[in-house]
Amino acid sequence: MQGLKKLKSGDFNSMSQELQPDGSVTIHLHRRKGKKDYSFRVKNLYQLNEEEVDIDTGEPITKGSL
Amino acid sequence: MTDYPDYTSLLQIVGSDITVPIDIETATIGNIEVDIKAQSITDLRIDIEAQSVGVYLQPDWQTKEGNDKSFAATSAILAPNGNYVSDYVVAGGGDLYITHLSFAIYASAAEDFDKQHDGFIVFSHMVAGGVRVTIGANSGFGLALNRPLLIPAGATYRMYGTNKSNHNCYMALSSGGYQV
Repeated sequence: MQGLKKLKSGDFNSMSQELQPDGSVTIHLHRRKGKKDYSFRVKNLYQLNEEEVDIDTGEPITKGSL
Repeated sequence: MTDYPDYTSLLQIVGSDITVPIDIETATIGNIEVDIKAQSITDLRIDIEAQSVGVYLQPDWQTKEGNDKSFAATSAILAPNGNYVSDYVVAGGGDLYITHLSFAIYASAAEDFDKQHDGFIVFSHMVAGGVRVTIGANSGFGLALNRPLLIPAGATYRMYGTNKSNHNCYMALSSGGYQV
């Protein structure tokens, strides 16, 4: 969930998005001054039913998959 | 320079018509901040003589300061007339200035590699009447803007592409600038 928070706070220098066949988007964020990059996958980005999903499968994230 | 005192006090000048010649002579300059607010400036001349001075254009300076933003987006396979949208809601408090943009469009199937791939793109501030840059090209295009595309804080910046070829293609959209 940290990656999505970084996106929503604008805390990055570069962002790359890849549209997935199921309509979700895989997003990679990079900030030079930070020591972390973030990769995550989102369905319905910026929509009311926005949901972060498993980056590999696109399935909903459950406690067991974290 | 030991014959002179050290000056660190604020110089604030308020007036309706001001002419201020400033001549600074010193061994080192720690920091000079000049904040000018005026409806018009007749003449502003800055003569800097120093062993090491960098004067940057705004995009270069903001990159140095870590305020640069870059966006890249790659579509899934697009059928003819299929489109791809990548949105970013400008977050973090500052306005977004897009200074350059580009796109590439390329066939997804090997048998189409040597064909013409036409693409159509729109980079825009998503609001009625918002500013936009629209380009159509074969295989791709790149453009440095001589005036930045301004996306206000909180607004949506959209990169949009359409496959105008008669075969399936991928599209890659990219752009960048700075946010202050």
